[in-house]
Amino acid sequence: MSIPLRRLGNCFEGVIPSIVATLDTNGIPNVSYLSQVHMVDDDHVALSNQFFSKTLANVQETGRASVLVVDGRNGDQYELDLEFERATQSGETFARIALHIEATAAQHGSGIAWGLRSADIYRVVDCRAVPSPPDVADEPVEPVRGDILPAAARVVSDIAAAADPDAMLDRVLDGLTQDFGYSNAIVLVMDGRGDRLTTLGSRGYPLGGVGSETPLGLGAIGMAAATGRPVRISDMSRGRRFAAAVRGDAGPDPSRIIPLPGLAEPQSQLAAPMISHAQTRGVLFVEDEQRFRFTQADEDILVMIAAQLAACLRLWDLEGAGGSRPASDRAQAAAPGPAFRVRYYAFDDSLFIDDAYLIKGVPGRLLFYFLTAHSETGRVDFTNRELRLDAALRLPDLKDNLETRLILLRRRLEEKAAPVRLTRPGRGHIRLELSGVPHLEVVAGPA
Amino acid sequence: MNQVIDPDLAAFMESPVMVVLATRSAAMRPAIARAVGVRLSPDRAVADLFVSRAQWPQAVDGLQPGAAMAVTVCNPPDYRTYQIKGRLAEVAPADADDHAVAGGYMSAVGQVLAELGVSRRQIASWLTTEDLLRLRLIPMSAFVQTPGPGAGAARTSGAEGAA
Repeated sequence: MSIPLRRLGNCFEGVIPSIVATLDTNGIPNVSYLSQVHMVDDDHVALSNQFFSKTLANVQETGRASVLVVDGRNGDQYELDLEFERATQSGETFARIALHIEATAAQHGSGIAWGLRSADIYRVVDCRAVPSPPDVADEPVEPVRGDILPAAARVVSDIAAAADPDAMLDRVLDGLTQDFGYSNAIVLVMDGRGDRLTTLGSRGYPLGGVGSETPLGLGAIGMAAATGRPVRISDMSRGRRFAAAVRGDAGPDPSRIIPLPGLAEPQSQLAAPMISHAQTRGVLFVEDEQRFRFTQADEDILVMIAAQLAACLRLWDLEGAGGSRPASDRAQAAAPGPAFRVRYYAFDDSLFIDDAYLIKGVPGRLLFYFLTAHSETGRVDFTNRELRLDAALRLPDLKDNLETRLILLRRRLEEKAAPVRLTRPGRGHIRLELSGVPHLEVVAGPA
Repeated sequence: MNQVIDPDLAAFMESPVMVVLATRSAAMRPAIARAVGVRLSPDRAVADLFVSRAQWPQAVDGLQPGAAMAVTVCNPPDYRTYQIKGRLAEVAPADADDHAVAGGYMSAVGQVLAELGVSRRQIASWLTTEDLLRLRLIPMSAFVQTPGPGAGAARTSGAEGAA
């Protein structure tokens, strides 16, 4: 009786290399390693056609192959008899394999893109368990964590029930670390220009890194954002750490860089795109120092939570008409604390407080707007609505992501223990809280 | 006279590398097995491979002298890989000397794999001497098969076809 492939989930993770055997028309065998066999459905697998040419030639001649796949957790082995069905150069399976190869190649830092020529789809005509020696039972199996579906349901419901985007974000980060036990998690949102991702919050790192950036297309995070697909890497021990290279990318001006949080020696990484309304709006990212930390189930869970967070954040922005007038027009009396200097660079909207870099881009522009209004009129209360309408802010792209920029700004101010903070007294309202007197200074061009 | 296995390749095959092989099964399909150790004859004209019939019946049941076989040897830490093709000269139950070679191989490769983070349970699943056979192979061609665009090149001059 052939074993259904879905029961072999841990065999398709690419942790233990698979083996492929073929015969030529004369019956001469060929045997080769291949990094991963991809499950398509219960009785189909896909092999990536990159460079195993003799295998390919034999399959073209005979239509047959056998593969040996190995369970990455307990070492159980299964031999699959395969019949070639078709080669595909597009579609879901092809895209999934191509992305996996690209991510792995980038991770290894080889700089060589061994392009995927096709994903070759085979029908599984038989799947047999290879008998393990009887004494294997004495050896412990890597512990399997409990069913994570109930935890996923809890987190997804809590996001929906959250009172505001800040609570949603905290619930996601707490969920990833507490409900699922991931050691390190980051939520990033797409920059307005769509070429970078900005950290909104993290857990498990010495530095929160709110406001740190990473470019689209690089590393697991950047590739998940660029392709709109999850990226999962189970073993980063084989080559140079790509993440380190990304973190070393200080950009043109190191004085305006916030370091991206990251493990020094990650072995497993998983990034899921936050997609809503067919657009990638950010990425959920988890990583771990253990190999093989994330399974297909973890990937599915992260995809689900990412979609829920993306949808709820977007809904909040779309419904953000609340607070159509300021909660009050009260002016705050001069703050009692000491004076502090705020320097704003108009060319990139970067903002420094007492010479320490705070943030740039839209959040920088927003804070400068609040502080300017406060210095001119003494106002401390603002609404989302006026921010969207105010021409002076020049914020055409804010319709969909004002909330995330405000969260970013608010959390960055907290993380820096800045003498100015933002609070949210009610839906659609923002209040400026000052513990000192700001002195504003505007610089037009680069320093 | 046999130049298929040069001294470097012989040393590599006898080192703690992973050994997998393929045969044509009784059902005329490709069949896979793992070997627990390789021993070259002093002139390197013959390679003995040790395979558990209990674990790999599809690949070894009914094998006769003259059958074609392919063997791939891979060094786990760096993925250096070669494939050797040839014909079987003999299939016989392993004797005490064969068991000694297999035992030494299993402890050495077990250590290599453990250092790479492979669990004892996984290693134990792959390496067994239960119902051990000795497959005596006459190597006829050898190929470089380290993963990458160069895979498939003949290691020895005059070898036919790509791996």
